Amino acid sequence: MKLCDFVVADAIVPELQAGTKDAAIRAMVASLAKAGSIKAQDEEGIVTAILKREELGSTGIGNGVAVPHTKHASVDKLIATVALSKTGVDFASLDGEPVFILFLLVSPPDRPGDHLRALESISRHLRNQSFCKFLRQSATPAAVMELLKEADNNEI
Amino acid sequence: MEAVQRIMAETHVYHRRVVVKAPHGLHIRPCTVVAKLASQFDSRVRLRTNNKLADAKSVMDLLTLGAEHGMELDLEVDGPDAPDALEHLSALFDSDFAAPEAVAAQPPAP
Repeated sequence: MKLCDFVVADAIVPELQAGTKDAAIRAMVASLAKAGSIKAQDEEGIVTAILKREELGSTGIGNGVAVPHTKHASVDKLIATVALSKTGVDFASLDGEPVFILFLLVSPPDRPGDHLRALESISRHLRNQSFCKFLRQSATPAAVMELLKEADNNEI
Repeated sequence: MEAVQRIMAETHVYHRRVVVKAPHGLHIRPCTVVAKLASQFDSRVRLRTNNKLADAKSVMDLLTLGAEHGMELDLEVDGPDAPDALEHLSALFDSDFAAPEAVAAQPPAP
Protein backbone atom coordinates (compact mmCIF):
# COMPACT_ATOMS: atom_id res chain seq x y z
CA MET A 1 0.00 0.00 0.00
CA LYS A 2 1.56 3.30 -1.04
CA LEU A 3 1.55 6.29 1.30
CA CYS A 4 0.14 8.47 -1.48
CA ASP A 5 -2.80 6.09 -1.74
CA PHE A 6 -4.18 7.10 1.62
CA VAL A 7 -2.53 10.31 2.85
CA VAL A 8 -4.76 13.29 2.05
CA ALA A 9 -2.46 15.95 0.63
CA ASP A 10 -4.74 18.85 1.54
CA ALA A 11 -4.92 17.73 5.15
CA ILE A 12 -1.17 17.65 5.82
CA VAL A 13 -0.02 19.84 8.73
CA PRO A 14 3.68 20.63 8.24
CA GLU A 15 3.89 22.97 11.23
CA LEU A 16 1.81 21.51 14.02
CA GLN A 17 1.39 24.13 16.71
CA ALA A 18 -0.39 21.90 19.21
CA GLY A 19 1.59 21.19 22.35
CA THR A 20 -0.52 18.40 23.82
CA LYS A 21 -1.70 15.00 22.58
CA ASP A 22 -5.32 16.13 22.75
CA ALA A 23 -4.71 19.34 20.79
CA ALA A 24 -2.57 17.52 18.21
CA ILE A 25 -5.27 14.97 17.51
CA ARG A 26 -7.94 17.66 17.30
CA ALA A 27 -5.85 19.72 14.88
CA MET A 28 -5.23 16.76 12.60
CA VAL A 29 -8.88 15.69 12.52
CA ALA A 30 -9.91 19.32 11.90
CA SER A 31 -7.49 19.37 8.99
CA LEU A 32 -9.15 16.28 7.48
CA ALA A 33 -12.55 17.95 7.88
CA LYS A 34 -11.28 21.14 6.24
CA ALA A 35 -9.94 19.06 3.34
CA GLY A 36 -13.39 17.55 2.93
CA SER A 37 -12.25 14.01 3.72
CA ILE A 38 -14.52 13.74 6.73
CA LYS A 39 -17.79 15.50 7.38
CA ALA A 40 -17.87 18.33 9.87
CA GLN A 41 -20.62 16.55 11.84
CA ASP A 42 -18.33 13.52 12.30
CA GLU A 43 -15.32 15.50 13.51
CA GLU A 44 -16.08 15.36 17.21
CA GLY A 45 -17.02 11.68 17.12
CA ILE A 46 -13.77 10.80 15.39
CA VAL A 47 -11.69 12.81 17.87
CA THR A 48 -13.47 11.08 20.76
CA ALA A 49 -12.87 7.64 19.23
CA ILE A 50 -9.17 8.35 18.69
CA LEU A 51 -8.71 9.62 22.25
CA LYS A 52 -10.53 6.55 23.56
CA ARG A 53 -8.13 4.32 21.64
CA GLU A 54 -5.20 6.21 23.17
CA GLU A 55 -6.50 5.31 26.62
CA LEU A 56 -6.01 1.62 25.79
CA GLY A 57 -2.36 2.29 25.09
CA SER A 58 -0.36 5.09 23.53
CA THR A 59 0.23 4.98 19.79
CA GLY A 60 3.49 6.81 20.42
CA ILE A 61 5.50 3.83 19.23
CA GLY A 62 8.94 5.30 19.82
CA ASN A 63 11.57 7.07 17.72
CA GLY A 64 9.55 10.30 17.79
CA VAL A 65 6.60 8.77 15.95
CA ALA A 66 2.90 8.51 16.79
CA VAL A 67 0.14 6.75 14.85
CA PRO A 68 -3.19 7.79 16.41
CA HIS A 69 -6.09 6.09 14.68
CA THR A 70 -9.65 4.83 14.78
CA LYS A 71 -12.20 2.96 12.74
CA HIS A 72 -15.24 5.05 11.87
CA ALA A 73 -18.36 4.16 9.92
CA SER A 74 -18.40 7.52 8.14
CA VAL A 75 -15.41 6.71 5.88
CA ASP A 76 -15.57 4.20 3.07
CA LYS A 77 -11.84 3.86 2.63
CA LEU A 78 -8.79 4.38 4.82
CA ILE A 79 -7.59 7.99 4.93
CA ALA A 80 -4.72 9.60 6.78
CA THR A 81 -2.94 12.82 7.39
CA VAL A 82 0.59 13.69 8.46
CA ALA A 83 1.59 16.33 10.99
CA LEU A 84 5.07 17.49 11.87
CA SER A 85 5.94 19.15 15.16
CA LYS A 86 9.11 21.20 15.58
CA THR A 87 9.02 21.28 19.36
CA GLY A 88 7.63 17.82 19.99
CA VAL A 89 4.38 16.61 21.54
CA ASP A 90 4.15 14.58 24.73
CA PHE A 91 2.30 11.46 23.58
CA ALA A 92 3.03 9.27 26.61
CA SER A 93 5.15 7.28 24.18
CA LEU A 94 6.52 3.85 24.92
CA ASP A 95 10.07 5.22 25.03
CA GLY A 96 9.15 8.27 27.11
CA GLU A 97 10.20 10.66 24.34
CA PRO A 98 8.15 13.37 22.60
CA VAL A 99 6.84 12.79 19.07
CA PHE A 100 7.72 14.90 16.04
CA ILE A 101 6.06 12.90 13.27
CA LEU A 102 2.38 11.97 13.50
CA PHE A 103 0.34 9.87 11.09
CA LEU A 104 -3.37 9.92 11.93
CA LEU A 105 -5.49 7.19 10.33
CA VAL A 106 -9.27 6.81 10.00
CA SER A 107 -10.45 3.55 8.48
CA PRO A 108 -13.76 1.85 7.69
CA PRO A 109 -14.86 -0.55 10.44
CA ASP A 110 -14.72 -3.71 8.34
CA ARG A 111 -11.26 -3.43 6.76
CA PRO A 112 -8.62 -4.51 9.32
CA GLY A 113 -6.35 -5.65 6.48
CA ASP A 114 -6.12 -2.13 5.08
CA HIS A 115 -5.24 -0.76 8.50
CA LEU A 116 -2.48 -3.35 8.89
CA ARG A 117 -1.09 -2.62 5.42
CA ALA A 118 -1.09 1.11 6.09
CA LEU A 119 0.85 0.54 9.32
CA GLU A 120 3.27 -1.70 7.44
CA SER A 121 3.87 1.01 4.86
CA ILE A 122 4.24 3.80 7.42
CA SER A 123 6.62 1.83 9.65
CA ARG A 124 8.72 0.62 6.71
CA HIS A 125 9.43 4.18 5.65
CA LEU A 126 9.80 5.64 9.14
CA ARG A 127 12.42 3.03 9.93
CA ASN A 128 14.55 4.86 7.37
CA GLN A 129 16.40 7.64 9.22
CA SER A 130 16.88 9.68 6.04
CA PHE A 131 13.16 9.63 5.37
CA CYS A 132 12.46 10.88 8.90
CA LYS A 133 15.07 13.59 8.58
CA PHE A 134 13.73 14.85 5.26
CA LEU A 135 10.17 14.61 6.52
CA ARG A 136 10.91 16.79 9.53
CA GLN A 137 12.56 19.32 7.23
CA SER A 138 9.54 19.60 4.93
CA ALA A 139 7.94 23.01 5.25
CA THR A 140 4.81 22.69 3.08
CA PRO A 141 2.12 20.08 2.38
CA ALA A 142 3.42 19.87 -1.19
CA ALA A 143 6.96 19.16 0.01
CA VAL A 144 5.67 16.44 2.34
CA MET A 145 3.62 14.88 -0.45
CA GLU A 146 6.62 14.95 -2.80
CA LEU A 147 8.67 13.15 -0.17
CA LEU A 148 5.99 10.51 0.35
CA LYS A 149 5.92 9.93 -3.39
CA GLU A 150 9.70 9.47 -3.48
CA ALA A 151 9.47 7.07 -0.55
CA ASP A 152 6.73 5.09 -2.34
CA ASN A 153 9.05 4.81 -5.35
CA ASN A 154 11.91 3.67 -3.11
CA GLU A 155 13.94 6.70 -4.06
CA ILE A 156 15.05 7.48 -0.49
CA MET B 1 30.44 -29.11 32.26
CA GLU B 2 27.98 -26.51 33.49
CA ALA B 3 30.11 -23.64 32.18
CA VAL B 4 30.36 -25.27 28.75
CA GLN B 5 26.59 -25.77 28.62
CA ARG B 6 26.04 -22.15 29.57
CA ILE B 7 28.39 -20.94 26.81
CA MET B 8 26.58 -23.14 24.30
CA ALA B 9 23.24 -21.78 25.46
CA GLU B 10 24.50 -18.24 24.98
CA THR B 11 25.58 -18.67 21.35
CA HIS B 12 22.93 -21.06 20.11
CA VAL B 13 20.09 -19.54 18.10
CA TYR B 14 16.77 -20.99 19.17
CA HIS B 15 13.98 -21.18 16.62
CA ARG B 16 10.27 -21.75 16.92
CA ARG B 17 7.39 -21.37 14.49
CA VAL B 18 4.58 -19.24 15.82
CA VAL B 19 1.25 -18.45 14.22
CA VAL B 20 -0.56 -15.13 14.38
CA LYS B 21 -3.90 -16.03 15.90
CA ALA B 22 -4.90 -12.44 16.63
CA PRO B 23 -8.00 -11.95 14.47
CA HIS B 24 -6.88 -8.63 12.99
CA GLY B 25 -3.20 -9.46 12.76
CA LEU B 26 -0.29 -7.77 14.52
CA HIS B 27 -1.41 -4.16 14.67
CA ILE B 28 -0.10 -1.66 17.21
CA ARG B 29 -1.57 -3.14 20.37
CA PRO B 30 -0.35 -6.74 19.92
CA CYS B 31 3.01 -5.41 18.67
CA THR B 32 3.30 -3.38 21.86
CA VAL B 33 2.63 -6.49 23.96
CA VAL B 34 5.26 -8.47 22.05
CA ALA B 35 7.83 -5.68 22.31
CA LYS B 36 7.23 -5.19 26.05
CA LEU B 37 7.67 -8.90 26.72
CA ALA B 38 10.70 -9.33 24.45
CA SER B 39 12.36 -6.32 26.06
CA GLN B 40 12.28 -8.05 29.44
CA PHE B 41 14.96 -10.43 28.21
CA ASP B 42 18.67 -9.82 27.63
CA SER B 43 18.73 -12.05 24.57
CA ARG B 44 18.29 -10.87 21.01
CA VAL B 45 14.72 -11.68 19.93
CA ARG B 46 13.67 -11.52 16.29
CA LEU B 47 10.67 -12.48 14.20
CA ARG B 48 11.11 -13.53 10.60
CA THR B 49 8.72 -13.93 7.70
CA ASN B 50 9.76 -15.14 4.26
CA ASN B 51 11.55 -11.97 3.36
CA LYS B 52 11.51 -9.75 6.44
CA LEU B 53 13.32 -9.77 9.77
CA ALA B 54 12.17 -7.67 12.71
CA ASP B 55 13.67 -6.86 16.09
CA ALA B 56 10.88 -8.03 18.40
CA LYS B 57 11.82 -5.38 20.98
CA SER B 58 10.82 -2.61 18.57
CA VAL B 59 7.16 -1.87 17.86
CA MET B 60 8.10 -0.07 14.66
CA ASP B 61 10.11 -3.07 13.42
CA LEU B 62 7.28 -5.46 14.26
CA LEU B 63 4.79 -3.37 12.31
CA THR B 64 6.92 -3.73 9.17
CA LEU B 65 6.08 -7.44 9.14
CA GLY B 66 2.47 -6.61 8.26
CA ALA B 67 1.68 -9.91 9.98
CA GLU B 68 -1.89 -10.88 9.15
CA HIS B 69 -4.09 -13.37 10.92
CA GLY B 70 -2.91 -16.89 10.14
CA MET B 71 0.60 -15.88 9.13
CA GLU B 72 3.42 -18.14 10.32
CA LEU B 73 6.47 -16.43 11.75
CA ASP B 74 9.84 -17.78 12.77
CA LEU B 75 10.81 -16.75 16.29
CA GLU B 76 14.62 -16.53 16.63
CA VAL B 77 16.26 -16.03 19.99
CA ASP B 78 19.91 -16.03 21.00
CA GLY B 79 21.59 -14.92 24.19
CA PRO B 80 21.97 -15.65 27.89
CA ASP B 81 18.26 -16.16 28.66
CA ALA B 82 17.24 -17.48 25.26
CA PRO B 83 15.32 -20.61 26.39
CA ASP B 84 13.21 -18.50 28.77
CA ALA B 85 12.59 -15.83 26.15
CA LEU B 86 11.58 -18.49 23.63
CA GLU B 87 9.09 -20.10 26.03
CA HIS B 88 7.52 -16.82 27.16
CA LEU B 89 7.15 -15.46 23.64
CA SER B 90 5.74 -18.63 22.13
CA ALA B 91 3.29 -18.83 25.04
CA LEU B 92 2.21 -15.29 24.21
CA PHE B 93 1.48 -16.22 20.59
CA ASP B 94 -0.25 -19.46 21.68
CA SER B 95 -2.45 -17.55 24.08
CA ASP B 96 -3.63 -15.43 21.17
CA PHE B 97 -2.76 -12.36 23.26
CA ALA B 98 -5.97 -13.18 25.12
CA ALA B 99 -4.50 -12.59 28.53
CA PRO B 100 -1.24 -10.79 27.78
CA GLU B 101 -1.03 -9.46 31.33
CA ALA B 102 -1.07 -13.03 32.64
CA VAL B 103 1.77 -14.13 30.40
CA ALA B 104 3.84 -10.98 30.63
CA ALA B 105 3.43 -10.81 34.40
CA GLN B 106 5.35 -14.04 34.92
CA PRO B 107 8.82 -12.76 35.70
CA PRO B 108 11.56 -14.22 33.53
CA ALA B 109 13.87 -16.55 35.44
CA PRO B 110 17.02 -14.74 36.60
